Order: sequence, then C-alpha cells, then structure tokens
Amino acid sequence: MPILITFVWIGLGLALQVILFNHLPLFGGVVLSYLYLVLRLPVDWNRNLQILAGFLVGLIVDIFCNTPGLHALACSTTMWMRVPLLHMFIVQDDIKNGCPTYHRLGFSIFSKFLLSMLLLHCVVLFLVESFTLFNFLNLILKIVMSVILSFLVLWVADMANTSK
Amino acid sequence: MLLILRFFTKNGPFFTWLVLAVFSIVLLCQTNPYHRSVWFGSANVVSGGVCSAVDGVTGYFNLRTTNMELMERMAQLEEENLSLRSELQQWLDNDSTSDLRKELPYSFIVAHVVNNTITQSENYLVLNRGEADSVKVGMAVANQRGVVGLVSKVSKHYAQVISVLNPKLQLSVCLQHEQSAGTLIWDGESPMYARLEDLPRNVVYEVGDTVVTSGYGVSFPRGVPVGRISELISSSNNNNFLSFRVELFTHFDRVNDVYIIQNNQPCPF
Repeated sequence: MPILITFVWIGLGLALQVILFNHLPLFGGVVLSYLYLVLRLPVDWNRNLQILAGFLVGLIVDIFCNTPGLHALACSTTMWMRVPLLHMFIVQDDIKNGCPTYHRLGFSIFSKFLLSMLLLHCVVLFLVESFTLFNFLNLILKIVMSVILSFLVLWVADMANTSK
Repeated sequence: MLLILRFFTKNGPFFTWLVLAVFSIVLLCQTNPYHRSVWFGSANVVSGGVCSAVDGVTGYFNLRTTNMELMERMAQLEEENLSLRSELQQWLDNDSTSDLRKELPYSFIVAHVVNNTITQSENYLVLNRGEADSVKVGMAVANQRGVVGLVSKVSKHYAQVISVLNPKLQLSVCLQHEQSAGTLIWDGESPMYARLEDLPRNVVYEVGDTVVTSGYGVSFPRGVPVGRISELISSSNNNNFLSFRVELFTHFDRVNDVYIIQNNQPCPF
C-alpha cells in the first residue's frame, strides 16, 4: 500500500507541473514540481527501476511541453546520480529503508542533497535545451532561479507531507 | 563470458541510464517539428484530453478581457464591412458584367486554445480542432489582435500550432506601407518581443510603424497585424540589411480563442 501512496504523490507533483507550473514563469525561472520524485521514491529500490521511473516521469512532462527527450534525459540522469549523491552526504546504513525526507536527514544534509540534485537537473535540462552558451547570463539566471524556487516548493511539500 | 556478464551486472544502473539517455537523445534530435511523431507531442488523444479538461476550468478566467477585445474587433470589422459594401454597390451599379460572386480566397475556422506555453525556448499551442474539422498542416493561425502561429501537426480532434514564440517559425513580414519583406524570428528572450530581420536598407521606417504579414508565403494572407517597431537593433555600414525589435500585438500569455485561416486558392506550385 505505501508504494501506491508514493505513486499518488509523485503523480500529484507531475500534475501540478503540467497544469500549473509550466504556465507560470516566476522571476525568470520555472518551478520543477515533478522532481518530488527525488524525495518520494524509496532509496532502497532497484536502481535500474529508479532510473526508469525518472525517465517515464520526464517523458510525461516532455509530452506536455513538446520537448521530446529533453526532460526524460535530465530526469533519468538525475535519478541515476541520486543514490551516489546521497551516499556522499551520509553513511550507507542510515538510509536502508524509505525516502530521503527532511525529518530523517535533518536540515543540513537534506538541503545539501536536494540542492545538489536540483542543480544537476537544472544544469542538464537548461544546457541541453539551449545547446549553446550564447545567452550565458540568461541561462545562469534561469538555472539559479529554478533551483531556488523548486527547492522552496519541494521543501514545503516534504514538510507538509511527513509532519503528520 | 562470465566476466562480461559480471561487468554488466556490476554497472547495471550505468547501462540502464545509457540506454535511456541514447533514446532521449534520439528523440531530441528529431529537430524538425513537422516530422516528429504526434505521440510525443501535446496534440495526442490523452494529453489533448487532459489539457481540454484543465482548460474547462481555467478557460473562464480571461473571459471579460477577451469579450471586450472581441467586441472592439467586431465593431472595427463591421465598419470595414459597411464601407466595402457601399463601395461594392457602386462598382456593381457601374458595371454589371463583372463577376464578383467568386469564392472568397480565405475561410476561417474558429478554435479554442487548450494548451499554450510561453516559458520554453520553443513554444507550441494546442487547439481543439483537428482533421475532423478539416484543419491541415501549414494553415495560418491568428487571433483578434494578430498572428499566433502555424499549424504543425494535426491529430483527429486536436492540432498543434508552432507559435510565433518559437525560433523554428520564420514568418515573411513587411512594414504596412512598404512592399519589401523581411523575416520575423523570435530570439527567445521575452514573449512580448520578436526580431524583424533582413529588411533592405532602403526601407523608409519610423519607430512605431506597424508590421504586418507580407502574404508571400502560402499560409498567411497579406496584412495580418504582427506588431509595431520598438527599436532599431543594427544598421552597421557593412551590413545591407536592417533589423528591428518588434513589439508583438498578440499577448501570448492570454491567447484563448483563435481562428485558423484556410487558403482556398489552389497552391501554384
């Protein structure tokens, strides 16, 4: 049953992205709420499945944005690096079961983990999207704003979801 | 053999990622929006359906301004219609032999926008009209304010439109009072502005001049409003062309209802 709830939450993040955040540019960045996947998918899952889940979520966002392959590439890359990145911050045994939530990791590790995940995702996403460094300042602004906005939204979502 | 197998199982996640990444890149490299499969775009049955359902709720938000704009446009057209009608009557009175009952060159299909982006670097719209409503690839799309885009893909009940806010769309446009045409390209910076390029140097212009479609392409009739010149970008001496920043008339953040322009004249090619 818990896995079903996980899917519902990930689906909710995805739906919010497609319905709301795709149409809502804020201070030059975009909120990436579908990355709630990074926080909700259990870490002890088979890593191949994690990457595949990332790919599918990315592909669904792609279909609604008309950017076939773009989000899928960025998302599967993010999910591939997820477990190695998490291990950089904590000892392996600490995350044997469940998700990397705020309550489990504490603010410092949680924010380090989420920020680096978001940064990786945004850099891949926006670099591939523009394919050039022509509009460099614009690109940096987009990456930084998107990371900050997404961090705030995902953090609030995680707090609200796990405080019960 | 065992060694190879062990190599693969040990690096499993890497190979999964590699396969998916290659697949994504193959999808990404189909750069031509006309050649992409309709299944990976927002005009397919499922995503089109989701977008229309969402639009059923959000579609009401801008109705007041849209209504106002439509009323203004209608009044303007009514005026034009009356003056043209009286002119036509004069012609008919003078010369009754001329055949003016020919088929009109363009007809319009009214459509509703169910999905629209302005934040991407390549933007598309989805309309709730498709093959079943005789929409075809390449038809022009405009609204009461000005140009919107060109139909790039059609499924049974939905059409995908490549927006003016997409560098892959290049429109042939000209100044209202001039014949020589230039190209309208979006530079990806602001959804309010696009660039008008390759206009010959000898063109007489003023800031604030109206830019309209030139009618040299097959899709757009001449004279559909595009925007107004906001500033000159470059006119260096070793360049024989002018380029301008154009403030677009169409507000792409509130495009709700559009018309698809069908060209009834047979294509000369």
